[in-house]
Amino acid sequence: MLDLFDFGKNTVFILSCYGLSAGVILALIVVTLHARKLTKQQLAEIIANTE
Amino acid sequence: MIGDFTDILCRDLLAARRSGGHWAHGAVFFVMFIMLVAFALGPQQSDRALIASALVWLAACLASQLSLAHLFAPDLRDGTLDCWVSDGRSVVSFVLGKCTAHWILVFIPILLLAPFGALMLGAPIADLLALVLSLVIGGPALILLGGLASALCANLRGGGMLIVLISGPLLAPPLIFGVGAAEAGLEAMALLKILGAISLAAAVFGSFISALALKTHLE
Amino acid sequence: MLSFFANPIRFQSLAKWLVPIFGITAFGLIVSAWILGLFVVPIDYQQGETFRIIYVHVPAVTVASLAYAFLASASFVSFVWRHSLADSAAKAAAPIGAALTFLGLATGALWGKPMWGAYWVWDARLTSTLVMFFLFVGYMAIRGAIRDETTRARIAAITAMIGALNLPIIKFSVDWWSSLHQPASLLRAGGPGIDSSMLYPVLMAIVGYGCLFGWLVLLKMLTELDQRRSLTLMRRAAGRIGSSASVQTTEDPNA
Repeated sequence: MLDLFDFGKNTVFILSCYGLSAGVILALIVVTLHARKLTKQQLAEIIANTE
Repeated sequence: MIGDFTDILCRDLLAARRSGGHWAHGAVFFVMFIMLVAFALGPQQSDRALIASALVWLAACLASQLSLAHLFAPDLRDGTLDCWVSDGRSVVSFVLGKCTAHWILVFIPILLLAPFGALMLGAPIADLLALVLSLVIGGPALILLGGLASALCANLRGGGMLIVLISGPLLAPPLIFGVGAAEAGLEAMALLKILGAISLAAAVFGSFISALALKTHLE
Repeated sequence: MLSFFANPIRFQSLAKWLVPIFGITAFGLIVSAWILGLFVVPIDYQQGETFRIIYVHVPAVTVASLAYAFLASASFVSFVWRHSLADSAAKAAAPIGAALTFLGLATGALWGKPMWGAYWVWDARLTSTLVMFFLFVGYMAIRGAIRDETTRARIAAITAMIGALNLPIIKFSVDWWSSLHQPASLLRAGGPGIDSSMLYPVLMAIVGYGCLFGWLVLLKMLTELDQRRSLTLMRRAAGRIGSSASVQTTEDPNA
């Protein structure tokens, strides 16, 4: 397993690039999906209450 | 159009006379910037001569932006601009008049101080003409583009910070070619021409877009 | 076609189709491109293993530029035709574009250290990418400072369009500037004769990042539509309660 992620002397740079990209992209996705879920719930509640 | 322009120009110049020297803000900043740069760089004359024109250009660029935050906001707030528009007068002339007044009040003192600043930073006398010429040609771009940012952010919360953020990328091209023209000397006419083109484009597009932004704020 | 989908209902039905397509394509392409890039692609003889950074760097920068183009076009539509959907597309694109630009800059810096020996060089491409980052940030900041919806849409649109006019000028100035000041001996990424087995994952990653961008923008736009709908429903309900307050006593727990 560790061998797989060994890219020689620049391993740190390569892995931090991929890690950073994955982290930022995941954060974007989580924030967006969370907001989407919240508003969906809110809308459903309001519709249920007003009818 | 011309009448609108001179009206606003005269009004601002008169207001500046009564303002108790508020217009000297830019010039004082310019002088202090040069002095502090000298302190930051140390007393050796030799290294500073190489970057003297760049530093003077930077000082002029920053000093000309200082009071731009208040270029349009007061007129927008006290209803002057509203009256101006409902009189059917040209907002583009308004913008050009304001910017010209700012140029006369803030930039001409800087232009007069620039050769002395450059000399004190160790620039050779032979380079001064190119420096002043590049400032004369590039100055309008600095003010019109700063004015554009100021028109966009007039009347906004946190306007000062926003103006810096918006005008930074706009000021990059005139600064690059201005310093380039000043350093290359008088033989590099091509750079002065590009700088002139930037100033002209700023005058045409900048004033038009500023007017558009101001009208949007009035709506 | 644009005006056809300017209707929020039609837009929603289209978006409901596109969202899963974009999402699945993005996930599949990005994950496979990264696996290929990290473990399968052969080592570049010039740059060695660091070449693998291209599969996260190039797509981020490319899609970030496309995101700015998208932001500017949406702003144009919003300014000229005053479509609120175009404005919400621009609003949704800005933070994603900023994040991608940041990723491009950060991975570029991490690539620069082993390759050029410095995290940051004032090279033409890096500098204009940095300026683009500030354009995104400025756009978001100016949106945050305006409360009135119409004014916000118009001023933000003007800001985005100024940036779009300014970017090529900055590119031109910075190219001239760096050719003057930089020793032209930088080892360029890619270069002549890049092997196709190295190229395909890059293309896959670019398309994948593009789909990711589209997916997120659509999700954010749908979210905003729902928010607006909740707001109108709440206002309407409040109006109804207010007008019939004399008859109805306060029984509604959510009033």
